[in-house]
Amino acid sequence: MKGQIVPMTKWQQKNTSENQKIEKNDSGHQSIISKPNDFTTDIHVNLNQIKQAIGHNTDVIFRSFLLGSTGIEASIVYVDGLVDKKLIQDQILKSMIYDLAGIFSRETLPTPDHLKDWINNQVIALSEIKEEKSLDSTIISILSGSTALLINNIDIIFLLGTVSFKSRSIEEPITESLVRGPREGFNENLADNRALLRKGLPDPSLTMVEYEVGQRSKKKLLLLYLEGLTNPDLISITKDRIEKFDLDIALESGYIEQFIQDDHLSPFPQVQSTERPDRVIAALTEGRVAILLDGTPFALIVPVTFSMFLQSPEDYYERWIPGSLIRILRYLAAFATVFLPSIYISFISFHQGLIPTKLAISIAATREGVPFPSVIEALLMETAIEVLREAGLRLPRPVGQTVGLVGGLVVGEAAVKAGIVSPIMVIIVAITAISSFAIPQYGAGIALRMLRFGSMLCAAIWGLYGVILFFILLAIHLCKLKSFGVPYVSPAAPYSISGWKDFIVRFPLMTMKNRPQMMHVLDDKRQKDDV
Amino acid sequence: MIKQKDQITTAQAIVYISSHMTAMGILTLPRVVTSATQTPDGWLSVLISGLLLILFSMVLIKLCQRFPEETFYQFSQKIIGKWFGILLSLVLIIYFLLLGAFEVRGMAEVTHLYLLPRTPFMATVVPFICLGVYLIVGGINPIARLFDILLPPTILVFLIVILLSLKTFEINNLRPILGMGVLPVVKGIQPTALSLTGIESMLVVFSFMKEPHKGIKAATIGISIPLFFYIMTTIFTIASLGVAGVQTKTWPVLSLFRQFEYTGIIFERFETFILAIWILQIFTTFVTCYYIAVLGLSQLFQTKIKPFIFGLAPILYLIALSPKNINDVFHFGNLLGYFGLLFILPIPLMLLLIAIWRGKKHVSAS
Amino acid sequence: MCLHHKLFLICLLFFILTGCWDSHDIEELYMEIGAALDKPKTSTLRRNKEQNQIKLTLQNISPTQLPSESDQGNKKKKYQNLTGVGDSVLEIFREFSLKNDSPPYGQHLKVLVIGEELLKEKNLQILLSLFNRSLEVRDSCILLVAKGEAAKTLKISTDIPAFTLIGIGENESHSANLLPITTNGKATRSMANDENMAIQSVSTKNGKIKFNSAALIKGGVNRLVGYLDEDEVKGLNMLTGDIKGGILKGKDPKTKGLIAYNISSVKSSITPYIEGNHLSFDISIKSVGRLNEDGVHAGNAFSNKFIHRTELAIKEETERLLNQTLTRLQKQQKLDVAGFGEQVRIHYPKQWNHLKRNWDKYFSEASIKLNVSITVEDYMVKGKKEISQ
Repeated sequence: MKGQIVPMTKWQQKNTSENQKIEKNDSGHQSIISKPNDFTTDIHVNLNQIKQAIGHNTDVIFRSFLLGSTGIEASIVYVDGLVDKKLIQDQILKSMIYDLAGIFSRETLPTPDHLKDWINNQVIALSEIKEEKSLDSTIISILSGSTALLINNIDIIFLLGTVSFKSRSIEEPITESLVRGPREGFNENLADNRALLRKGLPDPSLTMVEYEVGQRSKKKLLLLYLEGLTNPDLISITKDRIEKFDLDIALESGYIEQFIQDDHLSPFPQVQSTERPDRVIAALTEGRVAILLDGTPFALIVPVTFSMFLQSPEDYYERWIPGSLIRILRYLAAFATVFLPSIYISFISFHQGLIPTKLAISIAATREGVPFPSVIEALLMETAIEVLREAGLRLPRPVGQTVGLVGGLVVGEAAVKAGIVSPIMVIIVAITAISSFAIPQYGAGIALRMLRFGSMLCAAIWGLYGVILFFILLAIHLCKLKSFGVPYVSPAAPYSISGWKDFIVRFPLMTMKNRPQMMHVLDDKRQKDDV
Repeated sequence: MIKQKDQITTAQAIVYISSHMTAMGILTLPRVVTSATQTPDGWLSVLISGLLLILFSMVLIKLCQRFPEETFYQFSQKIIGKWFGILLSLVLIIYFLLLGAFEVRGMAEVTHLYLLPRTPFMATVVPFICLGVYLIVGGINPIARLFDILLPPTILVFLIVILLSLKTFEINNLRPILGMGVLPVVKGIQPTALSLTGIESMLVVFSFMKEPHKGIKAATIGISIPLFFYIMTTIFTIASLGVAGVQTKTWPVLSLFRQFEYTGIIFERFETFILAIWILQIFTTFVTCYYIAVLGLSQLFQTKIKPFIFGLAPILYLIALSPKNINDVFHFGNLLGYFGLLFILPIPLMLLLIAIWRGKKHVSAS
Repeated sequence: MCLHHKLFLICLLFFILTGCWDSHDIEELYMEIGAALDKPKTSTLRRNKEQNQIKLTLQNISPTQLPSESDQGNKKKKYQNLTGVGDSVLEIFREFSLKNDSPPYGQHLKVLVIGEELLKEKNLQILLSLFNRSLEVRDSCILLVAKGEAAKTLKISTDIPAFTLIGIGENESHSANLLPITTNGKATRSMANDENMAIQSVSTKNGKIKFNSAALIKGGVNRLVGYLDEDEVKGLNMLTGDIKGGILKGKDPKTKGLIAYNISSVKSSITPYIEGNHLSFDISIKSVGRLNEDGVHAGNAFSNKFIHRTELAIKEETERLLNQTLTRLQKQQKLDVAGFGEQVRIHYPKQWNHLKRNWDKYFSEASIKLNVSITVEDYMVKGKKEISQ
């Protein structure tokens, strides 16, 4: 680990080896402030300080004892449920009370420094032990599962790593399941996630910078990149953005995403979130930066491009021809999601001459008696299907399926029978909905479904011309958008041959010798040239 | 990487030139050229004037290469003095403004005729200009990226639809080649040149090129792409409509795609596709004109660009709506063609000669 | 940034509130699929000679006419014919809009039939342009000429008469007697060139139609001047090489038995020669086909001798057809509809400029040399009918 974390009132990147903190003040200049000690040599004062802060909580346990036969007062503080009690009993209490007794006695009282050494080096058999001088940091550590050890006459507090928290086992990611590919997904535990990445990429250049986010939530955040490969500008931009924002709690990486994205008004996601370690590793080796947050299985990847949302890791695991065909299919699905209903509207309300005569006649026949103009009909149906989708999603799974069945089949059938909507509209809406589900990224799918309504409105006003206008609008927006300095539309524009090898068609892996050009990586080669 | 300068790659310059050139002209070119030649050899005229244009563009690029990183607005003042420079720049700005407005109007006319017969001009023109404003605010890079994105689908759709029109292709309509000698072909060159203007945008856009030494390559390829479109369209239109038929149609190219139907596929008629990509290409031309005019104003007055962007939008709208009927529009377009030719050959040549004579050159900072 | 988004939203809102100028739902349209132009009967002409020169019959499919699921049982007509009389097409349309809740929609018009009476009197170019402008008819609409009354062709007893007309018109690959389809666009183009045209004509009898002849339209005046009969149409198709299928019947020179030859392909080339003031054409026609059936009892297709005999027979028949057609075109009608003029234009572009004004006259005086070659490439599954001793 490169940086280590020191809790502070306002979380900041920090180096503990120095007893100084580097703080950026408002004007951006760095100033060095020496760190004050909050604690005294009197254990009661120290304990009281802690008690005042968190003592009113019933889950905070204070346990006082004497160091063996020395009679030195000591005390541990921990939060029930967050710690491994067995560890505390076996490795802390037992050794403090019994083992110390064998070394020291009331007569040979050790000096505080001596004692410190002994505790650090001989008594406590824990892998994590830390000396702390700040009260705030101490309290935060206690609340996140460390055990604080206070000893009379010593003006620092030992923080012992006793965190033990039940975490979900590593399961298959639900939101991104693959037919072929690893079945591992991230879970809510940062250490597990980090381990998954280390396991997949045991490369010494894999660098993890730790931050803490949320004034109150104090979540650990990891910034990962490959040193010597990832563009330093990108790393500094990302660091800059992470350091800049300030928020109370960060429950999910979505909080972070919304703070570090480029354009808040854009419907498109500008950060990719994923549950899959393989996806993160692939991104890292492409020269991207990943962000992991404790407490959520969703890792963030920046920068992203639009084409990434239409890619699935499986494209690479499959052979290149089926992989490419499926990818082309996704592009078509994305196009259909946004434009199919609007093209339908413009054909049947504006340019009836453009559809084949027989089709025109049969559409006209099915629409006979429908009381609404096609726009209203389409809007109604599209809204209905969105509601249906949302309802099915939030309910428990068996109920959700019923809702889908009732909504889709029964209501749809009845609406057609009653002559409120035309059967062709039902088909169009259904195709659109299915197409939108074919987009591998949920967030991108939502964005495109949203835009569908915009294109429908444009079609209702200007017909096909409106659809073209909306297409131009969308294209302009995408062209203006950047994600962490990388144009959102790359590799479509600016043209890059190496980028196009992994765009609409996924070229065979052996031809993809270079990393994507848009990332401007330091080490360009993915494969040796002569292979 | 991350802090991208306002620069475009050579590939983007190529796309820029070809997007700017593919515009209004393509829909009327077969009629215009055949009216002049009266023989099926119009496509030869197009080819020759395209090659001439590539030749002329070299003069223009040579001039620009003497002043890399500077636009016409800046270097013209250095060559012929401040006031003449400003005057010439203003003329260029007005030219681009008029051209932009002309493109919008032409688009509105075609849309009115083929897609939205009852919708008022205002309703088609205003959103179009608004989209232009939205794009231009982003500067040269998003513009270049948008052009990059729009070109491949344009080429793809164009090729597919033009191949579908083989159904009405009659080779006899193209024969005899050079039956009446070379004279008709020569007659056709001048009206063709009017439709092929567009390279003059390099006077300004050149300054954004990352690799100015590749200017001539960019111009040559950039002209070749639309030239290919134009020649293909001319050949197919004449082959399908015949020499007499071409001359009777207002928009012969769209008539070409209305000649045939394919039953049994989802779409029976294909002129909509051509119309769609054509509107996209008109948009690119319009945006280029608009951007170059706005950039010129901001460089002349040395102020921010945004007020001009918003200020010019209503002016564009008013100019676009000023021609009374379609004949006025065509007439307007003809005038603009001559205007554009002025900036393609005589003015750059004059400036280049003066610059060589006076030994003016850009002194690079490094 | 924010300002632009707001501006855009305001614009969009503005258009939503005012928009939808061109929106019409598809089921409200009267989709015209066929039309017929006729000269009205004299009874309606009585009032004033200048008035009511055109009778227009439109066949439309409006969804109200379509049988829905519920009344599948009763036999309703799927179409509706509207008839109006007036001076101009536009005037008739105005009348239609007074009678119906929505105006006729012409973009789906597939077939236009013009009655011979009308076509003898009126310039086709004017008729078409009037019609196309007021209905926005596509260039791909098919043109037919009716022998007799055009309106009758839209009243034949099929499901939807207009579709039947198109269907037969497209059967080109099964019959040598059908001219290639003349579309609206093609006709307009020919008339712009002052070219003569041959348009497929239709006759009706007892509610049934037959495509059996071709109407000849003289360029310039664009009026109907005559017909080609079934054989002559076949000959014309041979001349232009526009045959994709069909049967030729010949007689075996030895036994006078019937030989049916199934045309696979015809290639024709017309080469003009101008020597001084004399104009001549070489026509070379090469056809490949298969022996379909023969009435020659002892015919043995396994022997090349018999194949040669059949080829000779078909060649004779082809020459007969061609000569008949050429006589008809050159000597009787004095009209070039087979593209002789075009070949002159291609091969002698400079002379053509002088010839084109009086082309039909020059054409009628030109000498024509025929060169026909027939190849029988196979003879279906059966080679001979009996094993000869």
